[in-house]
Amino acid sequence: MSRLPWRKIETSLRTERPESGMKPADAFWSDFKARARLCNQDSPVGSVRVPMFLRWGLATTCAAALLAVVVTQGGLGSTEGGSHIKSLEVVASHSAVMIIEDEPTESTILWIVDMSLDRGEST
Amino acid sequence: MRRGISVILACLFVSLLSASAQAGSLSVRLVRASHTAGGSSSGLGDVIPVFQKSLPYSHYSLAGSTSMTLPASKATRQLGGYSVTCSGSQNSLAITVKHGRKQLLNTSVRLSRGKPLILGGFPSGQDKLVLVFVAR
Repeated sequence: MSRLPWRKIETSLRTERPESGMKPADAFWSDFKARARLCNQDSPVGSVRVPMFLRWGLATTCAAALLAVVVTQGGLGSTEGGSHIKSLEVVASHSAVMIIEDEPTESTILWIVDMSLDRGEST
Repeated sequence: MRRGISVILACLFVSLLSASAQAGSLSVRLVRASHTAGGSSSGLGDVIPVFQKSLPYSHYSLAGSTSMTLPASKATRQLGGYSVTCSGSQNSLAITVKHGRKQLLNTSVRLSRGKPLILGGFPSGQDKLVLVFVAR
């Protein structure tokens, strides 16, 4: 058995070393993307494609509903207060009208004093 | 794509919310106010305290009741010789009260859920009749 000097061992190891095969990151990803483009990719399971006309139809319906809320409710942020009277016309003859607002119950009483069932002047 | 579907679902939710906000019912009760005892005050528990605090009568009894859906479209109900016609939504409800064919009053009101609106002073002999409107 012959003994090799360390210098020879070092040289032979250097020449017989396999290539690492590691590529730089940019080269790897560009190669990966190029390969990915070559084969068809299946779409994810369960995805739904909504037609454009349906999307616009729904959006228009929702906009109309929001507008209706704003018009009829006096705005989305309107707060609930008590019941109250906006306008009044008393056709029957009477002597006075009283409006009483009860704060604890937030109720309103409209009381027509001395109302007669005979037709009279309106208030 | 997912964002688009989320927006559509949100819009549908708002639409349903607005529809439910508009829908409801209106109860109308006819109450007899008198100085003499008579009749039952059952079904008036929510308004008796208001009557006793604000009106000069000692006895209140339920003379009739009815209901209608809101929004109403000229919905007419008969209560003790009076007819009540309602049109519109809870936020802008037009009420017309007639006795027979005689128109007595027209009013436009805004009703809050559970908060009574009371129209009173309608003659009935020695007593007075009161209409109580409550949106549910």
